[in-house]
Amino acid sequence: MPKQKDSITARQLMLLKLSGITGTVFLGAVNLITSLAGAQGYMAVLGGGLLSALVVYLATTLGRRFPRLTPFEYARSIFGKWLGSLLGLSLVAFNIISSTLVLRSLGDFLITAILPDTPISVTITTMLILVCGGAWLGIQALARFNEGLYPLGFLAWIVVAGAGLWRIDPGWLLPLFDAEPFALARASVVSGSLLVNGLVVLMFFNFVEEQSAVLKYSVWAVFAGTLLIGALQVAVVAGYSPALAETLKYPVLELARNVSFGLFLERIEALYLGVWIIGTFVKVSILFYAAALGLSLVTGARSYHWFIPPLAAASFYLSFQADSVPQSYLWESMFNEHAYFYQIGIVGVLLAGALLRGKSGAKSHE
Amino acid sequence: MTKRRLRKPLSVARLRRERSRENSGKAKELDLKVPPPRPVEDEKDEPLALSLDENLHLLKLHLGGSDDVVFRDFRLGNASALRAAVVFIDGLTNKDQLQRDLLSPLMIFAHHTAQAECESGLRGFAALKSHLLTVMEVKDVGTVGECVLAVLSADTVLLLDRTDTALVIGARTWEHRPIMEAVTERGVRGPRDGFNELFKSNIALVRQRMKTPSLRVKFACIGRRSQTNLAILYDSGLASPAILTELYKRLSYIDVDGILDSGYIEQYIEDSPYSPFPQVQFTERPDRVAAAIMEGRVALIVDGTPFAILVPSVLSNFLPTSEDHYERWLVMTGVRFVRAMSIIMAVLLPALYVAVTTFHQEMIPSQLALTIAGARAGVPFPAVVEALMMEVTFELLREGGIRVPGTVGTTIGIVGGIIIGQAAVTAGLVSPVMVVVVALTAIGSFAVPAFNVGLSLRLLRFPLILLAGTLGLYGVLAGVIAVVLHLVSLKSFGVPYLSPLAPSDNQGLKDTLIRAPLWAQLLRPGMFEPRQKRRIGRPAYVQHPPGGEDDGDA
Amino acid sequence: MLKAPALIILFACIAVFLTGCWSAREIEDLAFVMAMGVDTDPEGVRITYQLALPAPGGEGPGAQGGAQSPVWVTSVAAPSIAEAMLRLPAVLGKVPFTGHTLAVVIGEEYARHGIGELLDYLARDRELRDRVRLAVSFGEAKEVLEVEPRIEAMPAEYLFNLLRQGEATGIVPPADFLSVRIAYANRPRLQIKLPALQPAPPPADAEADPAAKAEEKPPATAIELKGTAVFRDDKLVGFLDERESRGVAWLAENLRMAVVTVLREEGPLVQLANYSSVRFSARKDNGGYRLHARVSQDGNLTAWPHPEQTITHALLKQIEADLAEVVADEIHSALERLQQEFNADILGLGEQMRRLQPDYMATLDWNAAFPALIVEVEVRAAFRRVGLTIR
Repeated sequence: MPKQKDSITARQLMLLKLSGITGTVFLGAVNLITSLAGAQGYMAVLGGGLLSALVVYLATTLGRRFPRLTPFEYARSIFGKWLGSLLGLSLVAFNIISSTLVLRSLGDFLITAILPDTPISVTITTMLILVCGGAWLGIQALARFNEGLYPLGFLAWIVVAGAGLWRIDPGWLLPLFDAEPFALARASVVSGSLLVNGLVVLMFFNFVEEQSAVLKYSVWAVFAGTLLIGALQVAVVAGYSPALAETLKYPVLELARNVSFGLFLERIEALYLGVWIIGTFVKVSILFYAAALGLSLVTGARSYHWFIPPLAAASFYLSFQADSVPQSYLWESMFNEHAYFYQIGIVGVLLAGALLRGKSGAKSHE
Repeated sequence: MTKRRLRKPLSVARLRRERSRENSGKAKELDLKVPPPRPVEDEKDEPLALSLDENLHLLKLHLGGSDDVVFRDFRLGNASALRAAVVFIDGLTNKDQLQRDLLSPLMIFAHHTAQAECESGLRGFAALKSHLLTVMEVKDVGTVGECVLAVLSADTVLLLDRTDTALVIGARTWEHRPIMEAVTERGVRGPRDGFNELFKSNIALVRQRMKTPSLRVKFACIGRRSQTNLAILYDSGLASPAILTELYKRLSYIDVDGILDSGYIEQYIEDSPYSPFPQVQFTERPDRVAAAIMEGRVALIVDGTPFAILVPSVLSNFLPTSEDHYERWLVMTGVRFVRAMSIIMAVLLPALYVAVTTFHQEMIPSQLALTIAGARAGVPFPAVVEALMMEVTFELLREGGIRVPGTVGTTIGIVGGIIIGQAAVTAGLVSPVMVVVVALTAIGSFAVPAFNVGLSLRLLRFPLILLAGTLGLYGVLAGVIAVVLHLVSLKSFGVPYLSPLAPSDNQGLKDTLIRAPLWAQLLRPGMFEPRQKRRIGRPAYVQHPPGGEDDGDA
Repeated sequence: MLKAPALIILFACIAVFLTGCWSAREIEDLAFVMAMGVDTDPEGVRITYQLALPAPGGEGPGAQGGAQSPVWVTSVAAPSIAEAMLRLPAVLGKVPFTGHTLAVVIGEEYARHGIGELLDYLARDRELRDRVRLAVSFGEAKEVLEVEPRIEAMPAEYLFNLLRQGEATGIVPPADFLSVRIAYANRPRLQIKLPALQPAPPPADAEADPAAKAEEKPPATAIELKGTAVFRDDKLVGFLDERESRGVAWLAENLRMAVVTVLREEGPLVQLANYSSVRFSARKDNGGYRLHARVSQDGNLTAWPHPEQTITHALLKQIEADLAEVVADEIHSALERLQQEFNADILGLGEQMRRLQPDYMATLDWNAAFPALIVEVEVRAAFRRVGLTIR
């Protein structure tokens, strides 16, 4: 039985991080990286891996200084009540925006590729109900859920990536060093933000039991995520030729669609749907949980549970602000391009503040 | 040269550390009690009077209303000796034993052997107990209530004149079912004795399998009108004190009229009554009880029912049968896979069929798609309605088949299924593919070893079909996520329901999906937090039979 | 604990679902489009659908006995392709379902006008598989779809298998939809090439029936593969015959069953080539580059005209040299027509040049440079196996 009321193991944290990374890669990220970096997208993924490892390292160091406090709490302890609360609220807002974009793009994806006549509100509502349930149950239940189901999902991803790599014509990747550095840098930033996955390490560090192992496991997660996304990137670009890949809206879906076992079992992308839905569910649930927790800590409420319905309503409302699929896609791309700066920014600011002011806290959380 | 595979020996320091850790865990004996049930009529319990007539009068007040209570007066020895009386219930008492071991010594021999004591009161009483009554179970009681309870519990009460204490003598016998094979848990291999309704013989069956002093059998009594006896069995060196304390606490809260089956107890002590999944396991087989106790769990044997219950129980306890451990590991791992597949099929197959044929037709191989379309051409209902209809019909058939006794029931089940299925297809109500799907589902659900989990899965099938008909595979996935979320948050006595899958527990995993060889399962599954992690007596190598290529080389 | 508010929320959410299931289509309401044909029409476009009639499954209301055609061919005309697709339910009463479509046949006239619109429509369709085969037919696509083959129950499957076999022998190029899309996205460095086919003329004895009128001639029972249809951008510009198609195939390394006949003075000998590969390299050529293609192939000797002559190593080498010449001839004749007559780089030589010399390629306008490209062909042919006899 776990020691703290709401504790997770380091391995569960790693799996949460990994599932968040791969949970949404089937949406817009690969397309964005391809359109920015073309045939050298995999290099951008590698660059992104390094960038995200940096953020993970900083977040772990920050977390170790405040072993049992959430970032909302120690932001206040470092910067004082008002500025700290503001930083905490910015993290909450980041989570909400991130989840809303994911929900909306998932809805777009479903109604484009899987369920053509269903109104998008239904798909988003279904996912929101599940996410509310998940966030209500707390991080421990979500971590267990993920731990149980995710390894199968990762296996499915390996099958997709493997099948995709099987059919590539590597010549499409030539010449090797063609991309312009700035475009590559932009693409790296995008993949970096994807690989950091919404600062999971930052937000849940204090829940982990064996905190000394977090860095090791998180780096493993980043490594595995980089490999997988790199493989998918290569499979897309070299399988579809860069010129065609840029025009595809959901290249990973195309990859999965064309996995076939002999001539009789084709178009089984609906099975992969399971993996994608579960990944999205976990990612958005933990974001919601962290946001609710943050709100409850900032406002001093007793428990985070009652913040969940208002957050869900806000998310639902926001997800309909984009009037059309291209517009929501545009907003998502803009967010993905700049998310990394926020991620490294907030970690850096908190860490710098803690170092400069010599603060650290060893209070236990609850 | 040598074919043994030696394991690396532990260092002495590590061994000492582990031993000391285990020994320090040998805590004090837990002293837990379940309070006895309150009597039905809430009167004060009066002590016995000195006069025999008054005592008899009191007892007749309480018991005389029933005609099968026997009051037998006699005198100890001769016509002027002390008067005594025996009270018992005909039908529950071994009258032969009474006659031989109680009435004979008291009426015939008492006069010769203990005349002096028989004249007096208390001394006579002491004499009775120590050298006159040749009965095994003897107990003193001092209140009317206790006497009444004793008589109703099939004991015999012996009252003596001029004494305010009575003797309760155990001479019970009644007709009962013999020890037979467990009806609900049949298997090919393994012991065939199952529990019957006798409390003591059930405990005896478990005792035979665990001849260790650390096995504790604690009695309790629950139920105001039924006064049902309960035995709590656990291994004091293994069971976690937290679980025991929690169990006793929950048992003490039960204040009901009667406990007719262990199922009542199960429903009163489980963690989440609103969950469709059972959190307490029942079994009819003593070998399963013994195995559970050796894992650190606690067993409850309830008087009057052959079903013992085991706590705490997580999902991975409901899936294996005890046979799983008696056969070899490779074979059993395969069997487990098949079982897991059939369980998943039992829950998901109709939903998947509905989802795929209604929303995702591109997934079906072309030829099959055309066949299904052709088969469904004349059917008036959409696939969802068809699926629900067939499932409900099957449930009806199944319920009907259970109630009808013996072979008639089986025949009705088979014939009914075939005829109804065939007729429905010919009449154009359902498509033949649907009948196949429903039949496969039903067979899959029979493969679940635990009946109560099978019931839960049957229940879950219906919402999943509805979701499949509404949102296709997305709906099915949403349903599956909801179910798994529920499972993840479920706990049985503090142990997470999805152990050992999540949180992962390596030793438990070795016995869940696969079944690792017995010599590879060195530790007990950690999820029950047994006090001693290592199964004692681990084999250090895999043995090969002597002779053959090996020259008997050591 | 959570009674009232949770229940209210739950019911509110359930109410969303009560309005109905939206994307549900019962499987028997679908019209399975097994193959499509696209032709020009005075109104715009005429699409021919080969729809599968569902096979009866055992006893049931849909049971039908007897041998009848398992497909139904129908045409719909409309100003554009999408409209034609959407007019089909008005004709049929069922929604067309392209999830199992196996082939799309394009009529010659339509192909000459340009297939860009068709490709775009097919790419957006979420149901279509990437392995659909595309082909061009001499004349009208409708006639191809009306063929009733005797060897296979489903005509579309017959067509699909025929095309796959043709790819293996090199008579027609591989034309799964994915390759076509890749080619179209990468023009002009890589142009589209599609198989060309037509319905086989009926056997001679069927015309001897005096009572048969001209319009009632029995439908053809087979389809012939006639080579490659060459496209520039999205318009059909011409056809290559079987031999030239095979020349193209040697440079595209996908042959598994090519039959090459070498004519020597003793007689013809036949090789069954089951392996071929090509390696390109760029060599300097006063200011620019030329492409050098090294083709390697090997196979089995299947027919040898002189049973009394033992096959020695020296003789084999001679034969292999002859074989290499034959192969090189095929390639050259194909290259000549592609470069001079059509100016369509269906071989992807431009893409190869880009991979080898990207800077040089960036300076070129491939439409102008392709005809002037010098391609050196070097063939290494071999007989790996000579069969069970040595004479």
